[in-house]
Amino acid sequence: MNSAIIFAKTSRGQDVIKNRAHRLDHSLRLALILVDGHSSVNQLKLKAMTMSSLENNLEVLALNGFIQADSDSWQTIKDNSMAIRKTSSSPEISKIKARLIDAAILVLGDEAHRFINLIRKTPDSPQALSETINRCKKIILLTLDEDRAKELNDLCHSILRKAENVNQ
Amino acid sequence: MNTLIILSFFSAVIMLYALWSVITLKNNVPGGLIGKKLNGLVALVVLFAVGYIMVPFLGQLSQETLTISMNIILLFGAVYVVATISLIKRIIQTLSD
Repeated sequence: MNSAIIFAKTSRGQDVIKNRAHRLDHSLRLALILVDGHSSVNQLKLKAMTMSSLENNLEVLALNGFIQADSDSWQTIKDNSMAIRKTSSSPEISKIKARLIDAAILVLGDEAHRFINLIRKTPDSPQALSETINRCKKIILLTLDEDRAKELNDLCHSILRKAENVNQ
Repeated sequence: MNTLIILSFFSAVIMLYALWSVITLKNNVPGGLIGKKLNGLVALVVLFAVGYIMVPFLGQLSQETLTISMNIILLFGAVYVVATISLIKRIIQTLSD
């Protein structure tokens, strides 16, 4: 995960804290409480040194809409949600693409922009999405960072696998 | 003499353009396999740019210093070629994985 990302609670996240409206795991709930809108992931890690899976928890919270990142890429998605999230004619694929875009922002922060465009332009099939993820991995490996390339690749493929399992 | 000055001038201009290009590229490619290799290439291009700019003044150096300077530039030229070929190899390898 990009450790410079600053997360803030979404209205859904605030509801969970106030009303216990959504059943969350204890560790997810703790991570959600920690998110304050000004601490970066690095600072959150310092605050929660005993919580080993903080990054994973933040990813789960972000991918489920409880928190959002204060980054240009994320803001673009928020501002153009219709254009970016509704990227395909199939609602299933549209959801998968949205999750892949979220994953790209989580791992790459503001550098996610060009990968968001690649995901958006991918034809509506899991096979094509898998190929796009592999392509993104290679570009990141060459131009950004080897560790983040692997992290994004693993995260995106796990999203695709989960979607396939749900469909079967 | 005039031909030498004109040639040195154009060589230096082209090398400064190369320097600008490689620095711009480095800013756009901060890391990864290419970004890491670019650090070395930027250093080499800086060395070449300095060398090319110094060409009109090389006549003032002693024969021995001139020979050593030329050989240093040639040595780093060879290093640059090897580094570029190895970078191309790594890119092709990554893309064909």
